[in-house]
Amino acid sequence: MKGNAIGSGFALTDHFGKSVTEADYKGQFALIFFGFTHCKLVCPRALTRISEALDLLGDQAANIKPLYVTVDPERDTPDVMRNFLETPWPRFTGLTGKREAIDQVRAAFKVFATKVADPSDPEGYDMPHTALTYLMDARFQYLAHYPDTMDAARLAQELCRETAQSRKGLK
Amino acid sequence: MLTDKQAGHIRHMRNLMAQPDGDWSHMDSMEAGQEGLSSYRYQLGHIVYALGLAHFHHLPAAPCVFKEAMQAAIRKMLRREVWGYWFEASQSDKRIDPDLEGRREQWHDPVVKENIMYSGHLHAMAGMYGVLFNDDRYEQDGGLTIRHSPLFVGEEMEFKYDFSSINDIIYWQMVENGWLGVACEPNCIFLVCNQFPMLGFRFHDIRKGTTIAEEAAAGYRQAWQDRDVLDRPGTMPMMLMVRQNVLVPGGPATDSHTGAIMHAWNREFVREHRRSQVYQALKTADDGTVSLRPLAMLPGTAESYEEVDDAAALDELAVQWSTPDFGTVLMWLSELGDEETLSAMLAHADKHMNPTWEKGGLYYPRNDRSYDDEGNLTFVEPLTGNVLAGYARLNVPDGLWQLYNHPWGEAHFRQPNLSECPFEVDVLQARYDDEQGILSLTLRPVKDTVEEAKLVIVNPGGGSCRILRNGEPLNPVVGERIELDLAIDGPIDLQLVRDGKA
Repeated sequence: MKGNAIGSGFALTDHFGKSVTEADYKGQFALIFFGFTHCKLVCPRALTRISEALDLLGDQAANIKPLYVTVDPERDTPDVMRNFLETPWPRFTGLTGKREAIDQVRAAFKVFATKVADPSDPEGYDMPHTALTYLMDARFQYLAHYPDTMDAARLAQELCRETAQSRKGLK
Repeated sequence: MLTDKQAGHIRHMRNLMAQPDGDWSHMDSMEAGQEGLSSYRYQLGHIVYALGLAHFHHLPAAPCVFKEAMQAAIRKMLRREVWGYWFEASQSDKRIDPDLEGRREQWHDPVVKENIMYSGHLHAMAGMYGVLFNDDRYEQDGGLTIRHSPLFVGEEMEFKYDFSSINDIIYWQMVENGWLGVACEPNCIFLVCNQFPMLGFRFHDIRKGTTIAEEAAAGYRQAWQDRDVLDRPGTMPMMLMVRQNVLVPGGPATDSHTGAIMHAWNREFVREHRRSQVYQALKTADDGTVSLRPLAMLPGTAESYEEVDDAAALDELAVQWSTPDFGTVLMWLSELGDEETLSAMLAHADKHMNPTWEKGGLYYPRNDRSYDDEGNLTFVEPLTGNVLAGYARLNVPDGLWQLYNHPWGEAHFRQPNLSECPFEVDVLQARYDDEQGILSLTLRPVKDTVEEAKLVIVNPGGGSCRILRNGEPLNPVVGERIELDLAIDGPIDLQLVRDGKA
């Protein structure tokens, strides 16, 4: 599967409130997942699975930076994202920003997200969204993506293989 | 062994594909501008699927019967008569997007975005071809390049694609749309048209070692379950109008077409809907033949059919049919394995739809008249008459499901098979029994004349073989490629027996 047109640079805010761009993550692999902190099922499951895969990689994970980009910037402020991530999934850095900036990066990664009514929260809303995990190389170029159905062990294997190939300049 | 009618359908589809490019005899339909389900692209796509199923289930050891016709169908798909409509369609219209503020800027490329009603078929056709013939011609760089080079009318165009690049384009649009599907006409995601790329994803996995089909199936199910569409009984929607977030109801016609293909990757769901509206729309005559009520005119719930009283039957005769509902129900019945109903519907077709033999081929000619004087359904459009009736006769229960889930492995392509046979000869049987080491062929001339036929059999196994013609031995043969010059003056049985076996 090729993804020549997948991904782009960005200008967002990390969950410490610092302005960041893709340049801040160059030199290491970036592992990107899009979601939102009110997500009840998909995001917690994916963040756990990705964290487990990185645990399995041991020292090799040191050069992989997991990023969690919100598709719901209206509710996901930097503080909300930090509180959401820092205890259960401390490897992740949350990224948020203005709606326009989020939509731009979302479109570049071809991420689907839409607001729908949430029967369990009449005041709020749900947001079905794409659950792919994207791997970007040290130049922040697309390397691969992985479906939500891939378990942690397999994801660890794939990350190991892709990052090794990338380092050897085979890709 | 193929029946005469099955062989006739294969022959007709081969005849159509053997017509010179640009000759669309028998294939033109009521609608102008390649609108509607009898458009060339749908006929070409379903010809590939029908021939593919016939090869897979009936004549697995005769690739030569199908290969050239399937190549021709794919080549014809790349012609501008087939895809040129997209330039007009791409600008959209308020009728399909009421919130459209102004016409969109048009584009020619029929693959790059939307138009899954074309690209999805090209994807599935090329994929099925690769899977059935272990041939990578459409996987080569530029293997599905679309060119148009007019001297006077319009600009020169070239859109360079291959099976994998089309696969990627469709995949990423699916992702971007949350796996609800890719639009056909702008703003319109039709369920049926998105079933064909689901086949294409699986074929890509088989050919290229990717793992898209599982992701696609899970994503598609989830996306539509989120809309409470795939979990409830009754009809599936026909389409989603994206910008308005409106589901347009479907009916038996769309259910049958969608279900016939969806069955390959979502069998349990389709089977649970077996008692859906499709059965409510069947009409049984006194002689036991079965036809349909005018499905497209009566979308709605299953209950609405039960409420139809006898008086309504008279009103049906005022309906002008225009869509291939009869054919899509045939497809659906064949895949789900309701052979009794299928047989009764084909009996109706044979009685009231003018079955015609031409150049050894069987088809039901286009007939725009909906009913005859006795009130029998007579309407036939080209998709049903040229292709879908044959598709249903050539399919077997779970036929597409089997091809999708249990395709041939490498061993199949190493087995003896008939790789060359004159176009003027029909093949009624072509099967290799690996245990016995016997390739069995049954051939006959298309016309009532003697055909001096040159046959080529490949992969006989390297050692010496015996060839039997109607049980009588011919000269022993040796080698990896056996050429036989035979006079075929009627049905003949040929057997290739590997020495040391049988």
